[in-house]
Amino acid sequence: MLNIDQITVSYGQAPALVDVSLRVEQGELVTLLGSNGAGKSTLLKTISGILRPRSGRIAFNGREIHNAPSHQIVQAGVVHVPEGRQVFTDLTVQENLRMGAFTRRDHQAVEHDLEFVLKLFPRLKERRHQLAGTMSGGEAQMVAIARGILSAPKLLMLDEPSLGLAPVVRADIFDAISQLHQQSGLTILLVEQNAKWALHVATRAYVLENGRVIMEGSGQDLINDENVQQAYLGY
Amino acid sequence: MESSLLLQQIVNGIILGSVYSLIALGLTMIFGVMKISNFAHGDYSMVGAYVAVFLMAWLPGWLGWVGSILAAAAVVGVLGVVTERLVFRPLLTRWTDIDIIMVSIGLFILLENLAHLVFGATPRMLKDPFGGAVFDLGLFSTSQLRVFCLVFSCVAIAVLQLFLNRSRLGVAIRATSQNRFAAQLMGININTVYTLTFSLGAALAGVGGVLYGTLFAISPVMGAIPTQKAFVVTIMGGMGHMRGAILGGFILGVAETLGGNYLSMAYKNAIGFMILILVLLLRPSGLFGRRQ
Ligand SMILES: Nc1ncnc2c1ncn2[C@@H]1O[C@H](COP(=O)(O)OP(=O)(O)OP(=O)(O)O)[C@@H](O)[C@H]1O
Ligand SMILES: [Mg+2]
Repeated sequence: MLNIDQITVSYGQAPALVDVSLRVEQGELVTLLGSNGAGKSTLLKTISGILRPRSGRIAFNGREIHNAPSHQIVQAGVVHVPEGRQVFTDLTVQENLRMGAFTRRDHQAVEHDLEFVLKLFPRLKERRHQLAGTMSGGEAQMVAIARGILSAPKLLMLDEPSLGLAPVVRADIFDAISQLHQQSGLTILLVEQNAKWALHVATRAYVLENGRVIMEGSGQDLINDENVQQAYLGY
Repeated sequence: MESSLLLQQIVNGIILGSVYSLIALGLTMIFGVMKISNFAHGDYSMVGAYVAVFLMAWLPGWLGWVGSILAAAAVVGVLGVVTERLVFRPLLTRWTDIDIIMVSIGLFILLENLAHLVFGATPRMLKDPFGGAVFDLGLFSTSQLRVFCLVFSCVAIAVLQLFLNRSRLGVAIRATSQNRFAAQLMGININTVYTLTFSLGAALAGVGGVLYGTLFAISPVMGAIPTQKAFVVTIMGGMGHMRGAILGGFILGVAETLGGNYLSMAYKNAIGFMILILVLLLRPSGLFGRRQ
């Protein structure tokens, strides 16, 4: 579904990604691990067309997207829920969700998806008319994920969805992600600091360090790997 | 007698203020979305006013007046697109804010001189389509033209608010001004939003220019005043803040008229700056802006 072939991305002269290759197949949940500054967010931003690779190619469902403008990439079904939520603070929850559906014309399906996310995150239902900027971190993360779902993703990319959340709320977010993958069959590319959980739910996983992929395998393979255990699982 | 004079001044101030609000809304919208401080903004009002000069010569009466407003919105809207595409867009990613301000001052001088060349230096007045007819309500009186001025700017402000709050594209403009990155991730085409916002902001100044032209003389150099007022209002209300610009416009209009009358006419234009200094001292992010 998503094929990344040897991309290199730089900020000015400083390279952030070097010859990175990665693929996500339909129905998979692929986890991307890596310490701070490894280049995980940079990779997601490049996939969604915010950054341009110096070299290499990115294809989605057979179509090259690495030169496409970001709005076309969203329309193709690649949806990016960014690090730090990035909700529209002065819009209500409902307006935020509707912005998720900005490119869509299938109004009935949008209404259906709206109902779906309000069931997934019942807390948002009672807060529909609240300004997103006044919500707690967990609620804002729910808005960000729900907004992403309103974009009708074929591939949903989540960048550190549990960052800075209390354990209880984090569990809610993890449940929702598992549900989206297992029950709704959504294809997901997940960047997550909680490696234990993220490897556990993953079909496959990659480890990124200093802008390079240093390891890939099934979730279970990586859980059993000594280096991964030391670096990310704290054994 | 005293209180009726006061009432009269307040009414005049509100009418003037509604025009300030309209022009400042355009400036604040462009700033909110694109972070451009456009010092050429008042020249869009100047061009709008000249559109009215020429159209009213062809089409007298209130029809010409209404037509002028629509034509000014259209012509200046297109001028907005042209300046955004040719002047601002190419600089936006590469240049700093100060550079862009300098360029906008350059654009201001260019437009002013072009207007000199095309329209000549002689100041013009718009004819009153109502032949100077007056509404006399006992406590105060005002020309019908001024009443229409007020009605028109209030309608324009209301329509703009409706557009920004209710329409999909309007909400996208607000979303972009709040978080450009997230807006891109929603599939919003940022360049389209920029062009639309700039065009709309310029058109507001253009319409404001026609209304301004019913109150003051029209000349190629008139643009400096609306630019200056719009900046005072925008900073007072909080840069990029719509409600701030609306309220700020009315406050400035009333303060100027009252000050001009009770203090001294000579200080009329200074009053805005006095308010501005006070606001900057007491509440630097503006009346509606968030405190940092
Ligand atoms: N806008 C930018 N300009 C310059 N350098 C940047 C920029 N954004 C990121 N970088 C650098 O690129 C590298 C990768 O950053 P990135 O944000 O992709 O890492 P990350 O893996 O997402 O880290 P984290 O876990 O902290 O979110 C880092 O060295 C970072 O300093
Ligand atoms: Mg990151």
